[in-house]
Amino acid sequence: MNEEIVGYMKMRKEDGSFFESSIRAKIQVGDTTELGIDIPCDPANRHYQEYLEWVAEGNTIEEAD
Amino acid sequence: MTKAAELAKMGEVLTNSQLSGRRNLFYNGNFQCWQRSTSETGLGASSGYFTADRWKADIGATSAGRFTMNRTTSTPDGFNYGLVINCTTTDTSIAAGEFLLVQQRFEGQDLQHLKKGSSSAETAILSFYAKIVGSATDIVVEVFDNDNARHICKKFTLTTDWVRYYFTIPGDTTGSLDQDNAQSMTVSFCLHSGSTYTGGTLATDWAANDNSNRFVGVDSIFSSTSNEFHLAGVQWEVGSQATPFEHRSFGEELALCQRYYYHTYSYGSPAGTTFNQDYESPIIIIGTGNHGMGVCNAVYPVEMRAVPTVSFYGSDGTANRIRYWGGSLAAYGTVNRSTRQILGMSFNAGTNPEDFYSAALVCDAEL
Repeated sequence: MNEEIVGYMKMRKEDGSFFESSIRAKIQVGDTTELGIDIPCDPANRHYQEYLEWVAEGNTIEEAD
Repeated sequence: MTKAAELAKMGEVLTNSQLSGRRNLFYNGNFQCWQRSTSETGLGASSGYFTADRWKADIGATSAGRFTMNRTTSTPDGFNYGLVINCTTTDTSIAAGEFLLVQQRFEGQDLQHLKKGSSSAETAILSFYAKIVGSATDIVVEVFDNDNARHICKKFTLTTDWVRYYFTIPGDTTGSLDQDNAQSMTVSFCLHSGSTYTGGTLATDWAANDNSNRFVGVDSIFSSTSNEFHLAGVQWEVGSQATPFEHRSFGEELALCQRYYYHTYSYGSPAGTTFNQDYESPIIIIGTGNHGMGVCNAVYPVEMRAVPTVSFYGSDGTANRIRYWGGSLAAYGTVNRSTRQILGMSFNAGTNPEDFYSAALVCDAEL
Protein backbone atom coordinates (compact mmCIF):
# COMPACT_ATOMS: atom_id res chain seq x y z
CA MET A 1 0.00 0.00 0.00
CA ASN A 2 3.00 2.25 -0.39
CA GLU A 3 2.84 2.33 -4.18
CA GLU A 4 3.87 5.42 -6.07
CA ILE A 5 0.59 7.03 -7.12
CA VAL A 6 0.79 8.98 -10.38
CA GLY A 7 -2.91 9.71 -10.92
CA TYR A 8 -6.45 8.56 -10.28
CA MET A 9 -9.25 7.04 -12.35
CA LYS A 10 -13.02 6.87 -12.07
CA MET A 11 -14.51 3.45 -12.68
CA ARG A 12 -17.44 3.01 -15.01
CA LYS A 13 -20.58 0.99 -14.40
CA GLU A 14 -22.08 -1.38 -16.95
CA ASP A 15 -24.59 1.28 -17.92
CA GLY A 16 -21.80 3.71 -18.69
CA SER A 17 -22.19 5.96 -15.68
CA PHE A 18 -19.46 6.32 -13.08
CA PHE A 19 -19.40 4.87 -9.62
CA GLU A 20 -19.47 7.46 -6.87
CA SER A 21 -18.35 5.25 -3.99
CA SER A 22 -14.69 4.78 -4.89
CA ILE A 23 -11.88 5.61 -7.28
CA ARG A 24 -8.73 3.75 -8.31
CA ALA A 25 -5.21 5.02 -7.97
CA LYS A 26 -2.94 4.81 -11.01
CA ILE A 27 0.53 3.57 -10.19
CA GLN A 28 3.81 3.47 -12.04
CA VAL A 29 4.96 -0.03 -13.00
CA GLY A 30 8.16 0.16 -15.02
CA ASP A 31 7.48 2.27 -18.07
CA THR A 32 3.71 2.00 -17.87
CA THR A 33 0.89 2.76 -15.47
CA GLU A 34 -1.77 0.44 -14.16
CA LEU A 35 -4.61 0.51 -11.67
CA GLY A 36 -3.57 0.22 -8.04
CA ILE A 37 -5.35 0.60 -4.73
CA ASP A 38 -9.11 1.12 -4.54
CA ILE A 39 -9.88 4.28 -2.57
CA PRO A 40 -13.30 4.79 -0.99
CA CYS A 41 -14.78 8.27 -1.17
CA ASP A 42 -14.78 8.54 2.62
CA PRO A 43 -13.54 11.90 3.93
CA ALA A 44 -11.91 10.05 6.86
CA ASN A 45 -9.79 7.87 4.55
CA ARG A 46 -6.22 9.18 4.31
CA HIS A 47 -5.79 8.15 0.69
CA TYR A 48 -8.99 9.97 -0.24
CA GLN A 49 -7.73 13.02 1.65
CA GLU A 50 -4.54 12.86 -0.44
CA TYR A 51 -6.67 12.62 -3.58
CA LEU A 52 -8.64 15.72 -2.58
CA GLU A 53 -5.35 17.59 -2.02
CA TRP A 54 -4.21 16.43 -5.47
CA VAL A 55 -7.41 17.81 -7.01
CA ALA A 56 -7.02 21.07 -5.08
CA GLU A 57 -3.59 21.44 -6.73
CA GLY A 58 -5.37 21.63 -10.09
CA ASN A 59 -5.17 18.01 -11.19
CA THR A 60 -8.05 16.15 -12.84
CA ILE A 61 -9.14 12.56 -12.42
CA GLU A 62 -9.26 10.38 -15.54
CA GLU A 63 -12.36 8.52 -16.63
CA ALA A 64 -12.13 4.84 -17.48
CA ASP A 65 -13.07 3.81 -21.01
CA MET B 1 14.08 7.14 47.67
CA THR B 2 13.02 6.52 51.27
CA LYS B 3 10.28 4.08 52.16
CA ALA B 4 8.05 6.96 53.21
CA ALA B 5 8.63 8.70 49.88
CA GLU B 6 7.87 5.48 47.98
CA LEU B 7 4.62 5.08 49.87
CA ALA B 8 3.73 8.70 49.17
CA LYS B 9 4.32 8.16 45.44
CA MET B 10 2.29 4.98 45.50
CA GLY B 11 -0.52 6.82 47.22
CA GLU B 12 -0.44 9.48 44.52
CA VAL B 13 -0.64 6.87 41.80
CA LEU B 14 -3.57 5.15 43.49
CA THR B 15 -5.33 8.45 44.10
CA ASN B 16 -5.01 9.29 40.42
CA SER B 17 -6.41 5.85 39.53
CA GLN B 18 -3.41 5.23 37.30
CA LEU B 19 -3.37 1.54 38.13
CA SER B 20 -6.96 0.88 37.12
CA GLY B 21 -8.18 0.18 33.62
CA ARG B 22 -6.20 0.53 30.44
CA ARG B 23 -3.41 3.06 30.81
CA ASN B 24 -1.31 3.12 27.66
CA LEU B 25 -2.65 5.34 24.89
CA PHE B 26 -0.18 3.91 22.39
CA TYR B 27 -1.12 1.06 20.11
CA ASN B 28 1.55 -1.59 19.75
CA GLY B 29 3.79 0.31 22.16
CA ASN B 30 5.80 -2.85 22.77
CA PHE B 31 6.10 -3.66 19.06
CA GLN B 32 4.32 -7.00 19.23
CA CYS B 33 2.41 -6.69 15.96
CA TRP B 34 4.07 -6.62 12.54
CA GLN B 35 1.34 -7.42 10.03
CA ARG B 36 3.01 -5.59 7.14
CA SER B 37 6.61 -6.72 7.49
CA THR B 38 9.37 -7.20 10.04
CA SER B 39 12.11 -5.72 7.88
CA GLU B 40 12.16 -3.08 5.17
CA THR B 41 15.21 -1.59 3.49
CA GLY B 42 15.88 1.41 1.31
CA LEU B 43 13.30 3.62 3.04
CA GLY B 44 13.43 7.40 3.05
CA ALA B 45 12.00 8.51 -0.27
CA SER B 46 8.44 8.82 1.02
CA SER B 47 6.34 8.54 4.16
CA GLY B 48 4.45 5.41 5.02
CA TYR B 49 3.57 2.56 7.31
CA PHE B 50 6.19 -0.02 6.50
CA THR B 51 6.74 -2.48 9.34
CA ALA B 52 5.42 -2.36 12.93
CA ASP B 53 1.68 -1.79 13.15
CA ARG B 54 0.61 1.80 13.77
CA TRP B 55 4.17 3.17 13.59
CA LYS B 56 4.66 5.57 10.71
CA ALA B 57 7.89 6.85 9.18
CA ASP B 58 7.08 10.44 8.30
CA ILE B 59 9.43 12.03 5.78
CA GLY B 60 9.72 15.76 5.08
CA ALA B 61 11.43 17.26 2.07
CA THR B 62 13.40 14.94 -0.18
CA SER B 63 16.54 13.66 1.51
CA ALA B 64 19.41 11.57 0.25
CA GLY B 65 19.28 9.69 3.54
CA ARG B 66 18.03 6.12 3.46
CA PHE B 67 17.33 3.72 6.30
CA THR B 68 16.08 0.32 7.26
CA MET B 69 13.18 -0.20 9.67
CA ASN B 70 13.41 -3.58 11.37
CA ARG B 71 12.19 -5.69 14.25
CA THR B 72 14.81 -6.47 16.84
CA THR B 73 14.96 -8.97 19.67
CA SER B 74 17.70 -6.98 21.35
CA THR B 75 15.40 -5.42 23.91
CA PRO B 76 15.15 -4.47 27.56
CA ASP B 77 14.22 -7.30 29.91
CA GLY B 78 10.55 -8.23 29.64
CA PHE B 79 10.05 -7.18 26.03
CA ASN B 80 9.94 -9.52 23.05
CA TYR B 81 10.61 -6.97 20.36
CA GLY B 82 11.71 -3.46 19.65
CA LEU B 83 12.08 -1.25 16.60
CA VAL B 84 15.43 -0.33 15.11
CA ILE B 85 16.10 2.38 12.53
CA ASN B 86 19.46 1.99 10.81
CA CYS B 87 20.98 4.57 8.47
CA THR B 88 22.15 2.93 5.25
CA THR B 89 22.83 6.04 3.13
CA THR B 90 24.09 9.27 4.65
CA ASP B 91 22.79 12.76 3.99
CA THR B 92 25.33 15.38 4.96
CA SER B 93 23.79 18.18 2.88
CA ILE B 94 20.56 18.67 4.76
CA ALA B 95 17.91 20.78 3.04
CA ALA B 96 15.85 23.11 5.22
CA GLY B 97 12.59 21.19 4.98
CA GLU B 98 13.89 17.71 5.71
CA PHE B 99 12.89 15.58 8.66
CA LEU B 100 12.56 11.94 9.65
CA LEU B 101 9.96 11.20 12.30
CA VAL B 102 8.99 7.85 13.77
CA GLN B 103 5.51 8.56 14.94
CA GLN B 104 2.07 7.42 15.97
CA ARG B 105 -1.19 9.25 15.26
CA PHE B 106 -4.18 9.23 17.58
CA GLU B 107 -7.92 9.64 17.15
CA GLY B 108 -9.53 12.46 19.10
CA GLN B 109 -12.21 10.21 20.54
CA ASP B 110 -9.50 8.16 22.29
CA LEU B 111 -7.99 11.19 24.04
CA GLN B 112 -10.93 12.91 25.69
CA HIS B 113 -9.79 11.89 29.18
CA LEU B 114 -6.78 14.19 28.78
CA LYS B 115 -9.39 16.98 29.18
CA LYS B 116 -7.30 19.08 26.87
CA GLY B 117 -8.52 22.63 26.49
CA SER B 118 -10.29 22.66 29.84
CA SER B 119 -9.30 24.19 33.15
CA SER B 120 -8.92 20.66 34.52
CA ALA B 121 -6.60 19.44 31.76
CA GLU B 122 -4.68 16.37 32.94
CA THR B 123 -0.96 15.94 33.28
CA ALA B 124 0.29 12.96 31.30
CA ILE B 125 3.60 11.18 31.10
CA LEU B 126 5.26 9.60 28.13
CA SER B 127 7.87 6.93 28.81
CA PHE B 128 9.98 4.82 26.48
CA TYR B 129 13.06 2.66 26.36
CA ALA B 130 15.70 3.71 23.86
CA LYS B 131 19.35 3.40 23.00
CA ILE B 132 21.60 4.59 20.21
CA VAL B 133 24.49 3.04 18.34
CA GLY B 134 26.72 5.65 16.74
CA SER B 135 27.01 9.38 17.14
CA ALA B 136 23.44 10.67 16.68
CA THR B 137 22.71 10.63 20.39
CA ASP B 138 20.29 13.56 20.62
CA ILE B 139 16.66 13.05 19.62
CA VAL B 140 13.57 15.21 20.13
CA VAL B 141 10.17 13.88 21.12
CA GLU B 142 7.23 16.06 20.13
CA VAL B 143 3.59 15.85 21.19
CA PHE B 144 1.56 17.69 18.56
CA ASP B 145 -2.07 18.77 18.83
CA ASN B 146 -3.32 18.55 15.24
CA ASP B 147 -6.73 20.05 16.04
CA ASN B 148 -5.29 23.28 17.40
CA ALA B 149 -1.76 23.38 15.89
CA ARG B 150 -0.07 23.34 19.28
CA HIS B 151 2.92 21.37 20.48
CA ILE B 152 5.32 20.57 23.28
CA CYS B 153 8.77 19.00 22.88
CA LYS B 154 11.64 17.53 24.84
CA LYS B 155 15.19 16.66 23.84
CA PHE B 156 16.78 13.44 25.05
CA THR B 157 20.41 12.38 24.93
CA LEU B 158 20.58 8.64 24.45
CA THR B 159 23.38 6.26 25.34
CA THR B 160 24.46 2.86 24.09
CA ASP B 161 22.52 1.18 26.91
CA TRP B 162 18.79 0.68 27.19
CA VAL B 163 17.41 3.39 29.46
CA ARG B 164 13.80 4.23 30.26
CA TYR B 165 13.19 7.92 29.53
CA TYR B 166 10.34 10.11 30.79
CA PHE B 167 8.54 13.13 29.34
CA THR B 168 6.07 14.80 31.69
CA ILE B 169 3.44 16.61 29.66
CA PRO B 170 1.51 19.21 31.64
CA GLY B 171 -2.20 19.55 31.00
CA ASP B 172 -2.89 22.04 28.23
CA THR B 173 -5.80 24.32 29.06
CA THR B 174 -5.88 25.69 25.51
CA GLY B 175 -7.45 23.89 22.58
CA SER B 176 -9.88 21.02 23.02
CA LEU B 177 -9.70 17.88 20.91
CA ASP B 178 -12.38 16.83 18.46
CA GLN B 179 -14.37 13.81 19.57
CA ASP B 180 -14.23 11.83 16.36
CA ASN B 181 -12.20 9.29 14.40
CA ALA B 182 -9.86 11.83 12.82
CA GLN B 183 -6.28 12.56 13.76
CA SER B 184 -6.15 14.81 16.81
CA MET B 185 -2.70 14.25 18.23
CA THR B 186 0.64 12.91 17.05
CA VAL B 187 3.65 11.76 19.05
CA SER B 188 6.88 11.87 17.04
CA PHE B 189 10.44 10.75 17.68
CA CYS B 190 12.55 13.07 15.52
CA LEU B 191 15.78 11.55 14.23
CA HIS B 192 16.75 14.07 11.54
CA SER B 193 15.73 17.62 10.69
CA GLY B 194 16.57 20.58 8.49
CA SER B 195 16.85 24.18 9.58
CA THR B 196 13.17 24.97 9.04
CA TYR B 197 12.46 23.06 12.22
CA THR B 198 15.61 23.79 14.24
CA GLY B 199 16.27 27.50 13.95
CA GLY B 200 14.42 28.65 17.05
CA THR B 201 14.11 27.61 20.66
CA LEU B 202 12.71 24.20 21.50
CA ALA B 203 9.07 24.43 22.63
CA THR B 204 9.43 22.84 26.05
CA ASP B 205 6.04 24.17 27.19
CA TRP B 206 2.74 23.96 25.35
CA ALA B 207 2.64 26.66 22.68
CA ALA B 208 1.14 27.47 19.31
CA ASN B 209 3.11 25.61 16.69
CA ASP B 210 6.15 27.39 15.39
CA ASN B 211 8.07 25.20 12.97
CA SER B 212 11.39 26.68 13.99
CA ASN B 213 10.83 25.46 17.57
CA ARG B 214 9.95 21.85 16.81
CA PHE B 215 13.18 19.84 16.64
CA VAL B 216 15.88 22.16 17.94
CA GLY B 217 19.02 20.29 18.98
CA VAL B 218 18.32 17.02 17.21
CA ASP B 219 21.25 15.11 15.76
CA SER B 220 20.92 13.57 12.31
CA ILE B 221 20.71 9.81 12.11
CA PHE B 222 21.80 10.30 8.50
CA SER B 223 25.21 11.59 9.59
CA SER B 224 26.72 8.10 9.46
CA THR B 225 25.81 4.60 8.38
CA SER B 226 26.97 3.52 11.84
CA ASN B 227 23.90 5.15 13.42
CA GLU B 228 21.14 2.94 14.79
CA PHE B 229 18.15 4.11 16.84
CA HIS B 230 16.49 1.49 19.04
CA LEU B 231 13.04 1.96 20.60
CA ALA B 232 10.90 -0.27 22.84
CA GLY B 233 8.16 -0.10 25.47
CA VAL B 234 6.53 3.20 24.53
CA GLN B 235 3.79 4.32 26.89
CA TRP B 236 1.67 7.49 27.22
CA GLU B 237 -0.59 7.64 30.24
CA VAL B 238 -2.60 10.12 32.24
CA GLY B 239 -0.98 11.04 35.54
CA SER B 240 2.21 12.53 36.81
CA GLN B 241 3.92 9.23 37.63
CA ALA B 242 5.04 6.71 35.04
CA THR B 243 3.79 3.24 35.88
CA PRO B 244 5.31 -0.05 34.72
CA PHE B 245 4.74 -0.79 31.04
CA GLU B 246 1.25 -2.12 30.41
CA HIS B 247 1.69 -5.45 28.66
CA ARG B 248 -1.32 -6.61 26.68
CA SER B 249 -1.84 -10.03 25.17
CA PHE B 250 -0.83 -10.49 21.54
CA GLY B 251 -4.42 -11.16 20.49
CA GLU B 252 -5.65 -8.03 22.21
CA GLU B 253 -2.97 -5.87 20.64
CA LEU B 254 -3.52 -7.36 17.18
CA ALA B 255 -7.24 -6.68 17.36
CA LEU B 256 -6.54 -3.08 18.34
CA CYS B 257 -4.19 -2.67 15.38
CA GLN B 258 -6.67 -4.25 12.95
CA ARG B 259 -8.85 -1.19 13.37
CA TYR B 260 -6.23 0.49 11.18
CA TYR B 261 -4.78 -2.27 9.00
CA TYR B 262 -5.95 -5.76 8.18
CA HIS B 263 -5.12 -8.49 5.71
CA THR B 264 -6.47 -11.94 5.05
CA TYR B 265 -3.14 -13.73 5.20
CA SER B 266 -2.25 -15.57 8.38
CA TYR B 267 -0.26 -13.48 10.82
CA GLY B 268 3.41 -13.67 9.90
CA SER B 269 2.71 -13.73 6.16
CA PRO B 270 2.79 -10.18 4.82
CA ALA B 271 0.91 -8.92 1.79
CA GLY B 272 2.43 -10.37 -1.34
CA THR B 273 3.08 -13.80 0.13
CA THR B 274 2.28 -16.55 -2.33
CA PHE B 275 -0.53 -18.95 -1.51
CA ASN B 276 -2.06 -22.06 -3.03
CA GLN B 277 -5.42 -21.04 -4.37
CA ASP B 278 -6.67 -24.64 -4.32
CA TYR B 279 -6.92 -24.74 -0.56
CA GLU B 280 -5.70 -21.55 1.05
CA SER B 281 -7.32 -18.80 -0.92
CA PRO B 282 -7.90 -15.95 1.53
CA ILE B 283 -11.04 -14.84 -0.29
CA ILE B 284 -13.01 -16.01 -3.27
CA ILE B 285 -14.63 -13.81 -5.86
CA ILE B 286 -17.60 -15.30 -7.64
CA GLY B 287 -18.55 -14.50 -11.18
CA THR B 288 -22.18 -13.71 -11.83
CA GLY B 289 -22.87 -15.22 -15.16
CA ASN B 290 -23.86 -13.08 -18.07
CA HIS B 291 -23.59 -9.78 -16.25
CA GLY B 292 -19.82 -9.79 -16.73
CA MET B 293 -19.35 -8.96 -13.09
CA GLY B 294 -17.82 -10.61 -10.07
CA VAL B 295 -18.83 -9.99 -6.50
CA CYS B 296 -17.00 -10.35 -3.23
CA ASN B 297 -18.07 -9.79 0.34
CA ALA B 298 -16.15 -10.08 3.57
CA VAL B 299 -16.64 -9.01 7.17
CA TYR B 300 -13.71 -7.38 8.93
CA PRO B 301 -12.66 -8.85 12.30
CA VAL B 302 -13.11 -5.47 13.98
CA GLU B 303 -14.74 -2.26 12.83
CA MET B 304 -12.13 -0.24 10.99
CA ARG B 305 -11.47 3.40 11.76
CA ALA B 306 -12.70 4.59 8.35
CA VAL B 307 -13.86 2.91 5.18
CA PRO B 308 -10.56 1.29 4.21
CA THR B 309 -8.48 1.56 1.11
CA VAL B 310 -8.46 -1.88 -0.47
CA SER B 311 -6.00 -3.80 -2.56
CA PHE B 312 -5.82 -7.37 -3.77
CA TYR B 313 -2.95 -9.76 -4.38
CA GLY B 314 -2.93 -12.75 -6.69
CA SER B 315 -1.85 -16.15 -5.44
CA ASP B 316 1.64 -15.63 -6.89
CA GLY B 317 1.99 -12.49 -4.78
CA THR B 318 1.40 -9.98 -7.57
CA ALA B 319 -0.23 -6.77 -6.35
CA ASN B 320 -3.43 -5.45 -7.91
CA ARG B 321 -4.34 -8.77 -9.48
CA ILE B 322 -6.95 -11.43 -8.92
CA ARG B 323 -6.48 -14.94 -10.25
CA TYR B 324 -8.90 -16.82 -12.41
CA TRP B 325 -9.36 -20.28 -10.95
CA GLY B 326 -6.76 -22.48 -12.58
CA GLY B 327 -5.89 -19.71 -14.98
CA SER B 328 -4.00 -16.53 -15.32
CA LEU B 329 -3.84 -13.37 -13.29
CA ALA B 330 -6.29 -10.65 -14.22
CA ALA B 331 -6.45 -6.95 -13.64
CA TYR B 332 -9.79 -5.80 -12.41
CA GLY B 333 -11.99 -2.78 -12.32
CA THR B 334 -13.25 -2.73 -8.80
CA VAL B 335 -15.99 -0.80 -7.21
CA ASN B 336 -15.72 -0.39 -3.50
CA ARG B 337 -19.10 -0.38 -1.79
CA SER B 338 -17.59 -1.05 1.58
CA THR B 339 -18.35 0.26 5.03
CA ARG B 340 -16.14 0.28 8.09
CA GLN B 341 -17.38 -3.23 8.88
CA ILE B 342 -17.98 -4.97 5.57
CA LEU B 343 -16.18 -5.27 2.28
CA GLY B 344 -18.53 -5.17 -0.66
CA MET B 345 -16.84 -5.19 -4.02
CA SER B 346 -18.05 -5.78 -7.53
CA PHE B 347 -15.66 -6.44 -10.35
CA ASN B 348 -15.79 -5.43 -13.95
CA ALA B 349 -13.23 -8.18 -14.55
CA GLY B 350 -14.88 -10.61 -16.48
CA THR B 351 -13.37 -12.52 -19.22
CA ASN B 352 -14.66 -15.60 -17.43
CA PRO B 353 -17.72 -14.25 -15.66
CA GLU B 354 -19.15 -17.60 -14.63
CA ASP B 355 -16.04 -18.75 -12.83
CA PHE B 356 -14.22 -18.22 -9.60
CA TYR B 357 -11.38 -15.90 -8.83
CA SER B 358 -9.18 -15.87 -5.79
CA ALA B 359 -7.23 -13.09 -4.12
CA ALA B 360 -5.80 -11.95 -0.83
CA LEU B 361 -7.30 -8.80 0.62
CA VAL B 362 -5.47 -5.90 2.27
CA CYS B 363 -7.34 -3.06 3.97
CA ASP B 364 -5.85 0.21 5.22
CA ALA B 365 -7.67 2.73 7.40
CA GLU B 366 -4.63 4.33 8.99
CA LEU B 367 -4.51 7.93 10.08
